Amino acid sequence: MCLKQCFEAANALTGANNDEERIAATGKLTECLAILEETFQKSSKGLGFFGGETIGYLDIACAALLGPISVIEMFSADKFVREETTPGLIQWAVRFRAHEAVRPYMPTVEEVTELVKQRIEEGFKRNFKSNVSTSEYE
Amino acid sequence: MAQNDTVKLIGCSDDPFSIRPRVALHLKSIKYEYLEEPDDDLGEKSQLLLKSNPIHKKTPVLIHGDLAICESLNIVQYLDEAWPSDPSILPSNAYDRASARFWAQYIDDKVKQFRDSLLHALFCFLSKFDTLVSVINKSV
Repeated sequence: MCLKQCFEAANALTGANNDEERIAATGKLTECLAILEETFQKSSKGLGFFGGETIGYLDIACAALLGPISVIEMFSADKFVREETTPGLIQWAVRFRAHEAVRPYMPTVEEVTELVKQRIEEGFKRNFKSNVSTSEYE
Repeated sequence: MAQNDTVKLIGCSDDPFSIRPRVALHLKSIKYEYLEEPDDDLGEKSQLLLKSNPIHKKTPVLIHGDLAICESLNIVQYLDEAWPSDPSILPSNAYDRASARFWAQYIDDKVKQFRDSLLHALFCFLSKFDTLVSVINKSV
């Protein structure tokens, strides 16, 4: 059930046409992260990581979530991993990013943002070029 | 497969899944060679990637000796089993292990959906821009 909600949330969020739609989509995504928060509380048993005292399989799995969430936050100009709603996850993210086995490989939020900007520019240049050449035939 | 066989990882810095095996390799203190794969849209895929992951042609791929292991979570699990020394990555209890795999799968599905809808949003954005540019071109 939640997978469908997450899908709808991300879809609605990125494709939202007005503020009302955007607020509704934000609510769904927040709900899904709340499920992960609950999983974190159970799995970490009050310690720092999903794996307990040390980084485990689930922490490593979640590593792939951090980049895309930064991008979604950038698109929507909203924060989904927040102190009020996901207190465990927000602290986990800070701890995880700072870990010596993670830091060298995990891009910072700034680096991810820069990368997305670059991709948009490259896409724009490609589109712009194709348009210019079409107009020459007209 | 001996632990002293060479280890290589084909990864891509744009790919959120490539981070996983790198963290696991670091935790297990395994020496390896990292091979950066050019971005899908911009460059051609390397022969090594096409040869070692002919089914999906996607990063990351672990190359251990002459064996290729694909899919990030599968690689992490392989590393944990092939290098059983501490620290262990998967939980020791069977139920905890099953539970960790369940949630890892959940996260995987979600990341893929997020990524697809982001690409879709980018595409929509660019095609709107495209229309705008052509309207401007015609009016000039």
